[in-house]
Amino acid sequence: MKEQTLGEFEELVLLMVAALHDEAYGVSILEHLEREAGRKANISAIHVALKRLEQKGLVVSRYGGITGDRGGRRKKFYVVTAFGKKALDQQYTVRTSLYKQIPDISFAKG
Amino acid sequence: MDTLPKLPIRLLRWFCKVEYLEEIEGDLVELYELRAATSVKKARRRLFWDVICSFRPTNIKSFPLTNPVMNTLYNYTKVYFRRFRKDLAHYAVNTLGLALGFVVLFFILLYVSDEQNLDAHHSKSSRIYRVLEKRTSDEGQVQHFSSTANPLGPALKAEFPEVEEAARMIYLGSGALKYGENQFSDRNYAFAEKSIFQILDFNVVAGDPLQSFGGEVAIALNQSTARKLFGDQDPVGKLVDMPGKLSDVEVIAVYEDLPYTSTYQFNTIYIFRFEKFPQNFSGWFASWDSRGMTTWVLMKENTRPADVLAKKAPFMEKYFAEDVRGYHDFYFQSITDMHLGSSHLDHYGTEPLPTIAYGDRSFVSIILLIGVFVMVIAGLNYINLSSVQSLKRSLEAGIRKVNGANATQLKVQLFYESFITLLIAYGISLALVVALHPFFLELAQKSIPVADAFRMEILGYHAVIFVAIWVISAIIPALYYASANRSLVLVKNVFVGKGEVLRRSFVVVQYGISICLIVGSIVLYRQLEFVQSKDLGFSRDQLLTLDINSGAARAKATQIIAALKSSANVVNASTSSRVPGEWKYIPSAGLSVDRTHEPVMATHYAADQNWLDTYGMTLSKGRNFSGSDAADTLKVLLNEKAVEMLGLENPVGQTLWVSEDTVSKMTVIGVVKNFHFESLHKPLGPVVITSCNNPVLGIDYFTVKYSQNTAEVIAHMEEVQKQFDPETPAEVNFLDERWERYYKADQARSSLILVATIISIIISTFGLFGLVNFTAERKTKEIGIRKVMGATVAEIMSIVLKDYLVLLLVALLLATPLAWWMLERWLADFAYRIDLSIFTFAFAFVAVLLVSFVTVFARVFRLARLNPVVSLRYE
Repeated sequence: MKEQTLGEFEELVLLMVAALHDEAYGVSILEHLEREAGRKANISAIHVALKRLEQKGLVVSRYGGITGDRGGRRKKFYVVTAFGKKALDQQYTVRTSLYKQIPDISFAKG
Repeated sequence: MDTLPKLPIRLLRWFCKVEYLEEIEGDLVELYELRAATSVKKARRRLFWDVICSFRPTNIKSFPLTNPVMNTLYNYTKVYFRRFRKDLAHYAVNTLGLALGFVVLFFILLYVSDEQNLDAHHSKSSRIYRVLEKRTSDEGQVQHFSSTANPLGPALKAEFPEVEEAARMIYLGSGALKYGENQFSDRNYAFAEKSIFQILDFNVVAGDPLQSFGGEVAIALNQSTARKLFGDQDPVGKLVDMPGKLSDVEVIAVYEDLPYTSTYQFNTIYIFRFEKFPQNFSGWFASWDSRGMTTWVLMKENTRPADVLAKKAPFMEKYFAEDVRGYHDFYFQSITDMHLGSSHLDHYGTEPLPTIAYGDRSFVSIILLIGVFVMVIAGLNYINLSSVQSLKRSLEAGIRKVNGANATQLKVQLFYESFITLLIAYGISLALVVALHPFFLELAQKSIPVADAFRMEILGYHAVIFVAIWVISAIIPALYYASANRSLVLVKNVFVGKGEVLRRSFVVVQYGISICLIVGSIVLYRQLEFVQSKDLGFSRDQLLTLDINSGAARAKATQIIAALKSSANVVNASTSSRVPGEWKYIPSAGLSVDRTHEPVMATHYAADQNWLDTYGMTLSKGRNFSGSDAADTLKVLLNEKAVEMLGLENPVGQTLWVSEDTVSKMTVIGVVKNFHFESLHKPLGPVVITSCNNPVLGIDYFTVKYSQNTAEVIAHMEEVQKQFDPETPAEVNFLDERWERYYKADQARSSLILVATIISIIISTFGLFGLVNFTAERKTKEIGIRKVMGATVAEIMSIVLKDYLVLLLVALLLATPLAWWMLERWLADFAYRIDLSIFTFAFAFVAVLLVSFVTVFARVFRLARLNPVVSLRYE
């Protein structure tokens, strides 16, 4: 099978799902993205990213219970799968190892 | 707590996949509730936006076709495209041929509509007329001019209550503009009265052309000229010069560049108060026996020019002296007729230059006819091929019938499929129209923006053509379906053989049109070739002309010629009143041996002694001018035609009465071999040449014959001009370019026709290929049997080819007289023309024959070579 790649935004959403463990659904991800990553997105972009992640098997979803909020509509919660966690780990390792290779010299003014 | 807006939610529910709906809707509602806490209005807006953002392919549900009609059409579409893939060659050829036909017709429609709508953009165009004059000379020669008697305009306005406004304009030779150091020549101007701004449409963007001003003249510029002259500065109020003519003229208005639909696209209008015109001119401007001004009138609402013409007699008597009345009979031409209705006009030289040269009504009809021809070829093709195709599909029809379809449904299917093909072809043609638009403009010498190809009027024509082809192409096979209604069974080729006569007659028509178009193109090209290669009696290569635009240059002509000759690259230089190819009125003079006979009217040139050598003209008798004033005055040269018409036995030494404004007795010193200085549309006439030292006719041009280094020679000429006449910018022209102007329109037209012809032949070949393909499929078995019986490949080929040969012969028989008649009419317009030759027709015949044989051969040869075992097993 062709190795699946993660888009930048997808990776961000996946991280957020992992971080929000068990509390990750559309609106909460949107809010945390804005608050913690300073990233403004449209809710539908998050929906699409979640669908893709689910298709790739990186997250799984379940419906929450019916509450008075949201006009009685259930929330759909997302959790990272073991495969998803592995993908994140791999991504992390690659980046840290690369980060460590940065020579300790002064940088050109950009 | 406010309520949730319903509309966006309903929209979301409509398009969103059910399995995603709860999540998306829930999140949107939650967000809405959060946002509504701060601002309800904003929250509503954001909700709506979120819904729109959610309209993504991932979220959209599939819409099942529950509607039976949609379902059927879906099935038809699917079957159509399946067959398209299976029978790719056939469908591609069919669709492409049709698209090509559309493209040709659409371009021609665009061309014709542009030709017919020129100058129709003026808001008062239905009331604007140009006054034309008919001059009947004492010898009975009739000429029409757009230059009228100068005082005609104001008099028309004063005498006739029907005339709401009148304006006069005039062109007085080459012009230029100068502001500070910035100077360029500008021939595209008119001197006009300010009322022209009340008659024609000008979009004034700065200043006011109607304001009163001191002095006799002010200037209105178009935007491009204003930018060229002043850059970013504000033009209004600036003083500019017209070198050699006017100085310190105030710019009082700037108007938008006139639209591409204007015959006249003036860069500059010198607003004149002609009554204040200076010195020596004013008498001429007031004279009723003058010719110069172009006169415009604006008629009042609900009046017609006929109302004025009805009261013309007393007007003529009042203003025109009896002896000049015949020279100035006037009539009106609607501004919208100006472009196509001016081919009868003679050039006088004081008309402002039309930016778009006058057109030719008969060519518009010809090109429209060709467009229709090409479309007929493409249409017949399509009808033939699609009927053949649908007949081949009787098996499918049978199965549909067995499954319960009735005849009407089968016909609907035919119409529907035809519609899809047409739609694809139409789509392709529109794309091609956009893509080929620059090429078309180049070819047609036009400047029509591409958006104009999609004007409502033109789209209307598209729709008519589309529907006509659609209905006709579908109705023919539909009729077969109807007649075979009951017996329609599961047999593969039940219809094969039907409509054979119709198809054959279509092929005959196509062949006929192709032959007509080929013959037409050949004759057109041969005629133009003939005209261009005809020995003109002078050499037009390596000649440059320099206009004489001022008295200063005219007075120093001898020194200027000497200076021009000083360059090593200049072989010869001369001066004359006119040069070949110039569209300026060439004056005539009357010639008579004794004053008792009617004079022979001859074209009159004035020239110096270098003129004949410069142009490579030769004397057949006598001698040239000597170059000394005293010896040359009262001496003339004649051309051979003039000698012949005067009936002179010994022309040299003969005395002649030459009458122009005055009558003088002159002596013939030489005879020049005939030369053509004017378009070959005109027959060769008698010519008289007087010396340039003679005061009768002024000189207007220098001509330089050079050997090499064109750029250097031009620079040298400009230098000489600057030296002797620093006021006026030099106007240098290549003589052969000017000469070609006579045939520019002809050339543009013939290339249009040629391209249309080539495309029509391509389309015909497409059609033939499709038909042959069909015949081949049908005859597969027959050919197999023939081979088994011992027929050779050649014999089999000849059976099929013979079929088409017969059709082609019939077409030739029908097309020949038609093409002959039309081309005779076209050629009648040329004074020097080729004769129609039977070989042209033979050539066209052979060309079509070859193309169709190659087509037939390519398909049938394969079949004829086939092992009969294979072909017998077919079906």
